[in-house]
Amino acid sequence: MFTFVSMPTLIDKEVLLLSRIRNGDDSAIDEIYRTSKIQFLTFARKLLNDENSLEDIYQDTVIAFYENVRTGKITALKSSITTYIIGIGKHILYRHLKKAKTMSNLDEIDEFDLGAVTNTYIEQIADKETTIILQQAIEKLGEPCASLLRLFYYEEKENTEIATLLGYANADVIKSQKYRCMQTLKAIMKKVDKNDR
Amino acid sequence: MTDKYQDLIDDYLRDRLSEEQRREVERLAEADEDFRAELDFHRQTKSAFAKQKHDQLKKRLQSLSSETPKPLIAEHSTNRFGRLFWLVAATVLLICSIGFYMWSMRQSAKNPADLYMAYFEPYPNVVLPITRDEVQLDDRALAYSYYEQADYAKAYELFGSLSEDVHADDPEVLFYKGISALQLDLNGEATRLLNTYQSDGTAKLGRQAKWYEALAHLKQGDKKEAQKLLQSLADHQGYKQQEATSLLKEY
Repeated sequence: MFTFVSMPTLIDKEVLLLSRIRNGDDSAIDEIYRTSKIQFLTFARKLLNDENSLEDIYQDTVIAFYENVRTGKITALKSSITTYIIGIGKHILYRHLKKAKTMSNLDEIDEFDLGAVTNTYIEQIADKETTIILQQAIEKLGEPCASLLRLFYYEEKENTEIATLLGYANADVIKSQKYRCMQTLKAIMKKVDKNDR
Repeated sequence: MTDKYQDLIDDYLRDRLSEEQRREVERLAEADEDFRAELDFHRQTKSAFAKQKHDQLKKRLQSLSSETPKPLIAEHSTNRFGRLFWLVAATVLLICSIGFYMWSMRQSAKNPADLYMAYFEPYPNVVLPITRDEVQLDDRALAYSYYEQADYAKAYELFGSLSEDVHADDPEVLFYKGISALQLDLNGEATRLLNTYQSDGTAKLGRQAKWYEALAHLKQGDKKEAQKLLQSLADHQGYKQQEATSLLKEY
């Protein structure tokens, strides 16, 4: 009965932010960045006294949140966005501290469990060598392959959707075109790799 | 390697395989070096595209980092005058707000927000009653379940995510999505949904939708539209006829 009076605008705004992320609107990330920064820093400064690292960690946290929403790991909000951000940020901060070996038993501290959400996507794709080489190869790939593969692998669109977006006749064409693009990418990658060594 | 495994690998990476097929992929990856290499290549491509995007986002955020003022660093330069000014301002504001609060308490309950509060009540879920022993709920059932639990944000999202097919089978989804929107204070959206729902001539809850649409207009202060809808409810026998009549008198 009282729901509309007590918690309207906040949830409205946050639900809207989520759907903007899902629709690929990058400017939503600016708002998220601004909204939660103060609270994150208030918490994080108690654990780490290095403003540059904190800024870096906070940026990774916001990107991880963005990815979790985009990939459907966060579908609806059980609490405010800031709560999620701090949950994820805590996780990334602890990893950072662990790496720096300034603290030992960090796992025990983490009482803030948001389940799968804290298992951030961003860590799975840390700067592995092959990823970096592939990234360089992608930059050399050219169109339409670059767009096609991005739509397929990053945006996870269906073949029919990709066909419409790129102006192909149907999903089957996309399928064979994608295969050819992957072969091209493989070839470029081998070249880049050779030049690197 | 031919392209015969392409679909299998893509479905594996998109988490679309059955348990059995998953195990088959993992078995293949163990046994066949070429297959493993192909799987890795796809996985890395996916990562590389994600990494590319992250680098872009990172640059975007880095450009924001200098712009945002650092909070919680105590005010260094607040002089005596500044402090006094804020103290006086706060006091004046406090007195004014107490005055306004008391004044508004004396006002009659005839303002739209109060009327809305007095008349609004979420419509019960009559489409898909959820029983407690159902363990696996599909998205539609889940949406109704959240609606019943008054978790309107989740209900709204889920109702919104249902496919066209579901809408064709269950046109009432629009109606319940509309009420959820109303609860979230997405009033314009609520009006639109409820109106669309009624425009289908076969709507089972047509009068109900009209009532909630009237309340949505009331909440938005759109007196003319609200009155029009209420009048049409009051003129014909059925759901909320009496309430519509008495609400019109008070409005």
